[in-house]
Amino acid sequence: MRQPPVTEDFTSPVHDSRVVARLGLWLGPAFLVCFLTGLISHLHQHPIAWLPIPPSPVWAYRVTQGLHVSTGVASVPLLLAKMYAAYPRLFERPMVGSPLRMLERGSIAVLVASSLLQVFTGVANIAQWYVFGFGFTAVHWSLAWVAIGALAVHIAAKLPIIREALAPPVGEEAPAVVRERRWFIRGALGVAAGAVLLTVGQTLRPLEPLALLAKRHPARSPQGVPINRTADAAGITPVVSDDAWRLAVSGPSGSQTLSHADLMALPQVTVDLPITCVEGWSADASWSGVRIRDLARLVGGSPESSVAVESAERSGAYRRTTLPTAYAQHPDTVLALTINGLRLPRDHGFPARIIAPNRPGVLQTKWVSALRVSA
Amino acid sequence: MMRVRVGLGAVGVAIVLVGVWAFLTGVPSRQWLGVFIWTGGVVAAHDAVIAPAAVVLGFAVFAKLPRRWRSPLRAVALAAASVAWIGVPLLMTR
Repeated sequence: MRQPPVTEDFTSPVHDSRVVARLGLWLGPAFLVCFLTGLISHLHQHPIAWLPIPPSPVWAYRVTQGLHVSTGVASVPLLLAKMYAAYPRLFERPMVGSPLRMLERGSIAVLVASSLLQVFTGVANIAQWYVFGFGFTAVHWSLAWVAIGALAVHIAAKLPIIREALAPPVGEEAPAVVRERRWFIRGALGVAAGAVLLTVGQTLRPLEPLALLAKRHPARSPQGVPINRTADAAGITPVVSDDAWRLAVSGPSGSQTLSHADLMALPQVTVDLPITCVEGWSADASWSGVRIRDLARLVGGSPESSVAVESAERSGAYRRTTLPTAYAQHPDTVLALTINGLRLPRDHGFPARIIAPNRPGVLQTKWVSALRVSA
Repeated sequence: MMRVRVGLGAVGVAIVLVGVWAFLTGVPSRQWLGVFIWTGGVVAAHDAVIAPAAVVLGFAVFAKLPRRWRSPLRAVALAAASVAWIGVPLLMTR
């Protein structure tokens, strides 16, 4: 072997454009679905007025975020396999070459770098492993565009090779070589399916016993709902009793301070809604409390009001959240005081938390201390 | 086909620029160095460690075994690498 090696030094039949292209037929759509479902998750957290996400159907975010995490997990083996199959191309000569070639290799460098970092940070984030030290959401969001754009450029650059690789073969080949290529692709697809099977149980209840590679397990969590952030982690000063707690509600007609007894005197509703976490797990629970729109009306809220929610947590990106009008006015959006018939435990948000349909878990604010109602 | 390629390439470049703009405006500049280091790090980890290790495994071990074993062994190696990638963050946050 020459030092450094050249493309021809790699003799395994797996290093073949037909393998690379066929794996791309799976990895490309996985990336696209991951990107689109990521956009939806971003729109939930950074709403755009002309593109509002509706509170129904209730299960929508469960499905889109389940797809986001599953396609991301499936991308691990697919990306490794595709890059292994294409690896010899890294050593093509000349290393630099004409401006057009530099552009092509440069676009692959951008694609490879952004894809690896996206899959790495995504997989780290579902385990809440913040090893990289930079803010996850802003970097994951911007690099998603870089990766999907570089993928489009890559397909444009490689289209003739892709067409040739996917066309029926011309001439004879040793059956053993064909078989090895085929089984490499099947192996990669099998591992991708396996990786999904070992994680998706965090949101797909019948598969929960198989979720060996999942961080959260609803069945083994208190009240059947996992806890990402405990009250201690959020720096919540313990509220000793219901009597010691007051909720501040303000709006167009003034402000009120409500005790637990005041809240209990208002009409109570019970809603069955899931908590769906951006990290891919989801769990159903039954919640009861007071409708947000009823609370908004106490301080002069209208059917057009949105509601800003403030948590007692001392820091955190989601200390303050906003329920857009469609959510604030939805009959199932509730200031929950109980979970599955039990007074809300501290780690689930005692004394009160927000529960709304079709909404990422980070926006289902716990330890609510104040509501501010818009006109 | 050339038209499709040029169109797709132009759309791709525009999408990349959206990402660059989102990065410049959304990620605090004090974090940029960290992002560049991690990006270089994951590429180096793949191109200089993971992929060469797979190649060496193929040619030093799999190539010496009977041919019918190679495909299943490749799948096992890929599964091991994938489980490691997904599993390490879980182990680090136990």
